Amino acid sequence: MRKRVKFLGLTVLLMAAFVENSWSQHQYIVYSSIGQSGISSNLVKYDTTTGETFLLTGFAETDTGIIQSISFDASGGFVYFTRESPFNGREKSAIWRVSIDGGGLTDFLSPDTSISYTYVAVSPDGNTVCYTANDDGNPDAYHLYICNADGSNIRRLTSDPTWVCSYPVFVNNTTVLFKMKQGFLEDYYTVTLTGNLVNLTHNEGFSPYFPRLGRPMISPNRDTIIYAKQVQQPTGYTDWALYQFSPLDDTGTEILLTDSLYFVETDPLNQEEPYPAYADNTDTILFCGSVTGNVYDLYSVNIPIINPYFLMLTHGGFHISLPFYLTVAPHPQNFVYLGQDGFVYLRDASGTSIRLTSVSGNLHPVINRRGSMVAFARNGIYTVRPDGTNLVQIESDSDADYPEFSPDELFVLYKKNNDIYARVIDCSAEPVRLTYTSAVYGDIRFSPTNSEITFTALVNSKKHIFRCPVQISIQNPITITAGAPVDLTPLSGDNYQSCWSSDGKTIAFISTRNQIPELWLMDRDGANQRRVPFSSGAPVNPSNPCFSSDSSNILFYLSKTPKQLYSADISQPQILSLQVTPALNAENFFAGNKPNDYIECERFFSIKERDPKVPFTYFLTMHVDKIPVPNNAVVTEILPDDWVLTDVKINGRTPAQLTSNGETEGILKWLFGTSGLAPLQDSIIQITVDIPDIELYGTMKGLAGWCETVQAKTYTRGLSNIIIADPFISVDTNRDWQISDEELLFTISLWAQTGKISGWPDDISQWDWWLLSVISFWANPAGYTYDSATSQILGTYVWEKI
Amino acid sequence: MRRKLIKSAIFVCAGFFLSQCALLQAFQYSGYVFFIKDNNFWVNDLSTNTSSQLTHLEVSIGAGVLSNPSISQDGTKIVFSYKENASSETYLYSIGYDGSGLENLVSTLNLSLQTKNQSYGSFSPDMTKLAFSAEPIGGPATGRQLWLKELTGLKRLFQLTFMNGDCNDIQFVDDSHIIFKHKLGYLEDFYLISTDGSDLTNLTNNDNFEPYFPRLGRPVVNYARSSFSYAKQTQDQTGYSNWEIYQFDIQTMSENQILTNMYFPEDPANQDDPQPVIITDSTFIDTAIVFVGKKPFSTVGSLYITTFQSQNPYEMEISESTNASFPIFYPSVAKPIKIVYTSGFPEQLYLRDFSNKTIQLTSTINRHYDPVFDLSGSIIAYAGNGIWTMKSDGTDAVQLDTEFTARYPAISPDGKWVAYVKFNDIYARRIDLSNSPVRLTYSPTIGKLELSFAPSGSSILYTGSTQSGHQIFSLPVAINENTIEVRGEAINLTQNPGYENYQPSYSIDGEKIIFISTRTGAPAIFTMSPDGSAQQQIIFQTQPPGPSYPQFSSWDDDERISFISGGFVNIANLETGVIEQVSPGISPAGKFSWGKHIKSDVFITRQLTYDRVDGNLPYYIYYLNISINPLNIPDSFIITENLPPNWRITEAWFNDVALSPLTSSGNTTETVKWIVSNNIGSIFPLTDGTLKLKIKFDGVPTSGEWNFVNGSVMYNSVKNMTSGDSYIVYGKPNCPADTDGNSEISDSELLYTIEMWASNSRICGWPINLSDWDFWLLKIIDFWAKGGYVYVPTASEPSWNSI
Repeated sequence: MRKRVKFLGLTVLLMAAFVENSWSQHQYIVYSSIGQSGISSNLVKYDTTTGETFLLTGFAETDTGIIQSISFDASGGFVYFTRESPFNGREKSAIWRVSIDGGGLTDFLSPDTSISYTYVAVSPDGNTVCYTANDDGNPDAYHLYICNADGSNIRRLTSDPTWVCSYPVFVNNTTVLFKMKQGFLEDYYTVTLTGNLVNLTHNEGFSPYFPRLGRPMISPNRDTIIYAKQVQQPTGYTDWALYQFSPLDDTGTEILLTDSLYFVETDPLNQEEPYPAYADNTDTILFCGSVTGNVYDLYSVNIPIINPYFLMLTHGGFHISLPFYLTVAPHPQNFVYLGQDGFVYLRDASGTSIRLTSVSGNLHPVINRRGSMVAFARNGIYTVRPDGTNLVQIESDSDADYPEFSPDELFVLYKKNNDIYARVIDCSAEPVRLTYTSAVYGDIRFSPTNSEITFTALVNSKKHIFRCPVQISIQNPITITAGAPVDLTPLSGDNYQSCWSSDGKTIAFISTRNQIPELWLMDRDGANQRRVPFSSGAPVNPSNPCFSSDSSNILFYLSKTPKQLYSADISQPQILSLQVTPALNAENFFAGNKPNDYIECERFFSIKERDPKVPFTYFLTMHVDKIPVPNNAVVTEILPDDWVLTDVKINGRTPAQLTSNGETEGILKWLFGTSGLAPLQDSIIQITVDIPDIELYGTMKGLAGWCETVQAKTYTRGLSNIIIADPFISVDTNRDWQISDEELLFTISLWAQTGKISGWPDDISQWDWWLLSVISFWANPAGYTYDSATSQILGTYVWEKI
Repeated sequence: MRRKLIKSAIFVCAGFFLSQCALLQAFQYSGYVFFIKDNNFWVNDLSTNTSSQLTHLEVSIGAGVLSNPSISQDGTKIVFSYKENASSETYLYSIGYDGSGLENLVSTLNLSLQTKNQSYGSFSPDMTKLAFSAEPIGGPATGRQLWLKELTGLKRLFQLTFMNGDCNDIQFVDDSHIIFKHKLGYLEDFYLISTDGSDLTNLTNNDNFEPYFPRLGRPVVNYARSSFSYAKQTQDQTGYSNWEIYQFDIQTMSENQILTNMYFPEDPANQDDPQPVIITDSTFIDTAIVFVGKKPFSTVGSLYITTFQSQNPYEMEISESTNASFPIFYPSVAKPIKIVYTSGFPEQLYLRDFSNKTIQLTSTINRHYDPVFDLSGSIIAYAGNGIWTMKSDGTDAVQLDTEFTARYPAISPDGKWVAYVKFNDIYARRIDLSNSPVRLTYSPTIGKLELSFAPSGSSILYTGSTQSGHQIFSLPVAINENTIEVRGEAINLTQNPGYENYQPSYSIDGEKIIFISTRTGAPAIFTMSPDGSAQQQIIFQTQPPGPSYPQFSSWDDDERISFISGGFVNIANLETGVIEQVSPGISPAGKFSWGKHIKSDVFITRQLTYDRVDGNLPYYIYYLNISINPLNIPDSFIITENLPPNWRITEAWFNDVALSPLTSSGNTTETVKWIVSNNIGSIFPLTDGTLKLKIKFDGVPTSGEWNFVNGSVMYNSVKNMTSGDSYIVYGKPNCPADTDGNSEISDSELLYTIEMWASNSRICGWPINLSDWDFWLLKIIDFWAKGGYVYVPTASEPSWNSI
């Protein structure tokens, strides 16, 4: 605990030195988790701040493959790992890469499907990848290879045909440490990119009682490794023990950290290695262990190790291995801004600005959260890609202003004739009027939860901030409606320019209630209104607050005259106003992520258990983040055997044919772009399939797919497993057919926000009915059950009180 | 005296009988000793040496063995171990200090995932962690280990030790250090360990005495957490010595022998641990020891209280402590408060919170004045560029009046109105801005200052600038749901021409007004009755110089006042006469205000109306009093009540409005629930109030049979146990006015009853119909006059006649 505090203190100091890209780093533990099937593992991200876990990969429970190695570059932006995946055409182990937020899964680094790519590591600068692999000629030998991060320039670093190399880890950008196994002899070596080999451990001296070595993991400052070792004696191996080794050359020495680990398996040969890894410092380590023998959990312990089982981070259910602690830099922010010359510019994370508009006189540019699209006003509302291409006029009314993207990127909202309108981003439908107040001033901002907006309206000539619920339906056709606005600032003074934090819990705004413009915060429901308490140098004449799209703590805003961009970390006890460097002068601006350089799909459905007698509809959202946008992309989806596609809608419209390849079973393909079924743009593909009635209850089915462009293939992320079973209602989070007090309070709070849990309820206009149902389930001591007969008649899932 | 009486009343209502011999001996000590007797908790009030039984665990959990209690630093919770006779496992439980709110911590904290046979629980002083001893599930069998459960944040469970032998007798020294006893074979030692598992330190190093290891008893830290006391038996070739009592100074890491002259009839090997605990006085100085012992020539153990190094430790026995064990102590501590004041230039609002941290609440370009808390301590009203309110955490500032010169806000007792002075007249406005300001006076030629509401809301005090100096006036008003109106002329309460009388405010019970008067030649603190009578100076041993802004505490049953003297805020205890300057010093620029600090967002207390339930009557009524902290109102909460077997709710009211259905869960027996929400599904409004339940008994109640009522409230993933009364026995109830349950009405009980009648208040929820008060008061006067009463129920209600 105390060490944690020390670390935070250090963070505060660092933040004073770095203005940008050092804010609010995220700390995670990524590990491999083997599911209950025992044949398939996935990457899991454990947030050390909240204790929440997130599935980074969506390999199906039935997609055979166990992750063998995990690696990151120093920025932590991408995870590299090795695994087989027959569902994705990889019968042998391949190198995969996925971004730390779970997007962009691809295997582009291991093109040869006949080779086993067993272990992978990426250099600290992210430019070089090292891996071990066999070859067709000598399948039992695994050599060490390096290549550039784009897969080019492959070179082999080891040559001994009797070596089996594994567990590479970069000491620095030019030196790799790895484990060599030759018969029973195991040693750690380093090798430079030029092939200079150094034996660190010299275990040949223990012949014939060679020790066994586990995965080496390097310390945060890259001068020490930690690993597990089994010493061999005439009586056999000892239990795994944990060691440190430094310096990382042939003068290095080994220190025993603990030999007090407990193993259910009495024969050391059967013991799984504990995979030790450093946490955020060399005083704290992680390892995997089991005190019951059933599953391996993740433990955290401080050095010196008194009790190895000090803190159990995970609690059964899954077999955990290969933990890796990483610090992830915040997502780079791009700023779209209106220059003082009236042009719209985009400034990337490096500080380079490009002009997006050819004429001046523009107003209020915004960028969507993913950073892939910009909107602005100028005699109407326009969208444009962040490279200045694909200019599209959304609204021609010259009065229109204050554009805003919906978080799902389906709509652009804007003010026209003192009310709010919305239009589908592909202009496939006419604008829809959302409010009828005739008092809207502007500042329209969408909640990240996609369920409500705030805006500024005039009440008795004073600016007030209003919030109203918004419902977007992706049924056919895609629709958007808004509910009654609520005044969040019924006070004297002007309150305006609201913006949402990325977690949707906090709204920042400008208030003049103290006679001067100040930065204020409030909860999403208007409660807890408080001034941002700057410890010194409160911003002068602040305006245009805008949270980072990657953090709910980082607030950007303009200050001074002429207006310049500043930022503040509002989570700190001492809040400082720091000018963003290099300086940026702007009339107004908006922040969004630096866009990813790929197109990917995400699969989602509301309920994981499926009754085969009820049609199954699910969705693929396609994010076109590659700039410039390619001409074409193909989305592939692989259905389980005997499942039949019965309906497809793309952005709410039925395409000319169900699939581009004419198939309705097995492998389905849709071509987007030139001559395709639909334009290549952010899209939602609604897929309805018929599950054979004969599917057995309790069986698990897997879905797989990818999106291909000329340059890359990105595997679909999101949900991939279906269980043939009676479905639980989604708010029954512990799936015990009962609604607890906590689950009911959660349901009520969800209802109040017209929110969804895992996409349920499909139709939020049915929320009142669902809430009353949930209350009746809660009140019933026997709980609830699935109403199979009614569900089959209605074609959607319903439940009833027992 | 009234204070003592109220305490007694609380205990009686909780179903605990005061002993007939309770007042045999009054001690010079104060505070409470909790102890275990007959596998239940008892508490002794040291100031009166009265003991009462708090629990009937054989009813609430099941017959079993209770052991190893520990009380939290805030005195609200006792954690203990319990092994039901029918179970082989030991579990950790907690209860409130009053015996209510029984909670199985193993279940609610999910401790059984990694541990079993949990025991020796201890809360950290800041209540964010629970340390306990337990056996690990799985892994190498290394005995009982020390575990730490986070109660906030990630709620992680740490295994702090990995030692051969057993770790027991766990106590927090501070928020990040724990002491415990370790036993390995015959070797016993006290250890200190950090909550991050580091710095494991052997405090006693008894291995040096091998093979004559001493035996150590239970360690208990003192209230200041500067030392712990324990008993020890040394050993030599001839065997163990008798137990002797030691105190281990944590700062110097040294032990001192503090009591030796104890009597033991048994051979040392068979002697029980005396389980000493240190008693402190009101200033938390260690003053005495309570221990378990047998006085000479007795074979029966009791609790005794004695001074350090006493030659005869058996002079004072804790009443009703025969066969008692595991004494723990909690002193009489001041209730948590916070202070709002202005400081700097231009003056800004500052808050000194309950943890003594100073927070700046405003930062504007204009000056601020006259901050004042509401009765709950959750809302602050203040002046400066108009009249404002804000939550006491500095959020949600709302401007009620924009007139720059408006001053002297006061918050009505219901928290819905703010009265203030504008252009020398009094105005009032609803705090939610649902009305325009209401002008209450029309006398702009008379200056008005320093407003203060009566707790009943029936009048507003203010200082008026008269031709004969400042005098205190009372303006009668009536507050309705959406209106406030003046009910008569303002009354000059002081009428003290030539002298200044100013800065008035009410006591929380509305019976006193405290103010400053210069009638003695210099400013001094005075009190008077609400009608202006009984004006008298508060006399201290040393009069505080130049006092200003005197205020009673807003806590019930709190004899403290605060005021500014010498430029700093002081707090004086009217019982002890001790005046203390708030530390670190607060030097307000003008008026300040002190308010309650309330921890829970939703707090529920159960009030069982009579001390016994007459099962022959057709029904029984009891109450759940619901209090919501305005500072942090949850969107929704769920109240759960676990009714005893055979109890059935037949009617229910919230704030006297009948509920239909009776519960949100639909059922009326066993576990019943109510949803309270700002949203859909709420059974009654989300506001402070009283849930009144009418109970019918199914089956045949047996006289002498105990009932246990337990419950909780859940909001925002927080679960708070319901406090108040939990146990009640079937039998003939005493008249609630008979607070000591001796079937007689004493003088003090009669005076207390008259006081309650006068304020139209209930004694533990009685009388159920306030309109019956006149009838009951006359009856009680009759009981008092006749020297006693007998139970003579009517067809539906308990009733009594004089003997």
